[in-house]
Amino acid sequence: MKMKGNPNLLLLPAMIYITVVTFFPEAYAVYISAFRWLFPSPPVYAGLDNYTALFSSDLFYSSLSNTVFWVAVTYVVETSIALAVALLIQRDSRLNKFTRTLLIVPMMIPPVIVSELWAYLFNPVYGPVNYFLHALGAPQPDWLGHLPEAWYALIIVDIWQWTPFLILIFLAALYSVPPDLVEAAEVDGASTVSKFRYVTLPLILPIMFIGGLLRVVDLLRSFENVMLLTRGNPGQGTWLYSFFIFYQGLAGSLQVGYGAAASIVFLLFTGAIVVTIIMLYFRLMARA
Amino acid sequence: MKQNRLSVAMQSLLVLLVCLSIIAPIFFMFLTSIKSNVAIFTSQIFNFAPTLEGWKTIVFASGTAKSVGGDWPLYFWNSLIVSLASTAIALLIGLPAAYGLARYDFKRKNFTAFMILSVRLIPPIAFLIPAYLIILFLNIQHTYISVIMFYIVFQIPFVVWIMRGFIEQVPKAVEEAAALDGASQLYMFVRILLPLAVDGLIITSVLCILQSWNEFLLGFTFLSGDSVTLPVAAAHLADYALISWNMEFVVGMISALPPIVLAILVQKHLVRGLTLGMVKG
Repeated sequence: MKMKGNPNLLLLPAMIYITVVTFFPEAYAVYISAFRWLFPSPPVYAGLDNYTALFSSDLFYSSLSNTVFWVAVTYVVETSIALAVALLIQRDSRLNKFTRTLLIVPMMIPPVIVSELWAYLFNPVYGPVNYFLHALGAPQPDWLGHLPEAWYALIIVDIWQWTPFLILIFLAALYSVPPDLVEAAEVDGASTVSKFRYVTLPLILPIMFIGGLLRVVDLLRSFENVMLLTRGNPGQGTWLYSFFIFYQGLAGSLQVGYGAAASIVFLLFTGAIVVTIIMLYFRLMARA
Repeated sequence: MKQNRLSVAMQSLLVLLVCLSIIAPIFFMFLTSIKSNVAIFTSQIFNFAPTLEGWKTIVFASGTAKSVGGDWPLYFWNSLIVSLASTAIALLIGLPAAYGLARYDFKRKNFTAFMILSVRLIPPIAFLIPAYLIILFLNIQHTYISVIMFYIVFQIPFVVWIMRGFIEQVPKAVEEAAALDGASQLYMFVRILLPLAVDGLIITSVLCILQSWNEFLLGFTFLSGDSVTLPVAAAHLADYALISWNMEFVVGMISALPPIVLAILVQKHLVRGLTLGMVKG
């Protein structure tokens, strides 16, 4: 039976809302990026000056390369841990079921609270982390004020909060593998490694891809931990690009034209990464 | 056999280690919330005299607490209003779209679905500056509406993508039978279809609420004074030169509890929700 009613009418409110509240501000950002505009004094037309200023700023390049480094390292570490833990807790035991529920907890805590919590835990003078390191007779680094420890701190916090997300997705993927397929491979005498490589992995790859894509997108926009945990310190050593936009375009400086140019670059950058990942994935799937 | 039992014990030990690493930081958050600031700054990790001073300041003394960080029951209320209002509006806008994508074939259907999804992929920081200028221009800074209007746009992809999947699972025959009985389309959707997709509706609402409840960047930029939400107020509280950690973590416990409870209640569908319905968890 053909459905009554007009689907365009059903989608119209959502499309209008998204256009007005997301795509319109982005278009406006493109427009104001052509102005030298030190808010609230009036804007002055500047052509592409903001973009040339951006591309000749050392801080731009360091924030951007920090972001690439941050996303790549954190993603690889989290994925490895998540796969190991998912394989570890996939069997149904009482302990494993409890662990699966517990995994939900860190990612539900507001990121601001997680940042503040770890700012306390990592405090070099009175924080518990260095207290335990002291008790063990280990060196007690200045976690938040020194490189590379500040990066370790940021990565540890993100692992703590967001690896559970990947673990839960990998578990869902593992459960989607039909058990008789694995058993058939067992009967054929496949080793544990080749069972995983040739039976399980190809089947869980699509789900791993979705989880990975969402994780990369969220890592790219990471903000709270840099803002509240390291505050970009030491120097501008832990500036991520999101922090660069916030500080160069809004907080303190209010150079909104310059900030808008930086935003547009980030939008294109994120888009390019998303498209690359999707294309890589399809190439990988075609080969598998 | 003996080898097997040993490896099971090893596995359990590793799982316990995973649990410990999740629980320990939260345990310290609780422990610190019942310490005096003196005990905290002198690094009395375990041997301290418990006190409820932080809890009392945040929960009860809203009037006098103004001097030490603000009116916390009000901020809780702000968070609640902003989360519930944005979720309600996002459902109102998103549900028809989800239904349209689930039940109709039309030109550019995949393109439309992807356009809605793309909002989930845009980093909020990339439209923070133009959005801020628009809010100043409309003169609605420091109001609920300033954040609600943007939270809705983050929530719409969740509503559309998750609900589309759940609606597709309901057999079309249900609607066809209702149509033969002469039910109107709206009646059919609200009274027949939604109750059959109620799991989806619950997980969608919970994820929408969580998203607004935990949001920081826009709230921090647009709100101030009496309009701030809990995460924003928590960040301001931590900005004092001599931070009151016990108060900070009382706020932490209070603002973390509702999302955790909600998420555990909808545990069964959580993975499916978090991946916008793209993974059937």
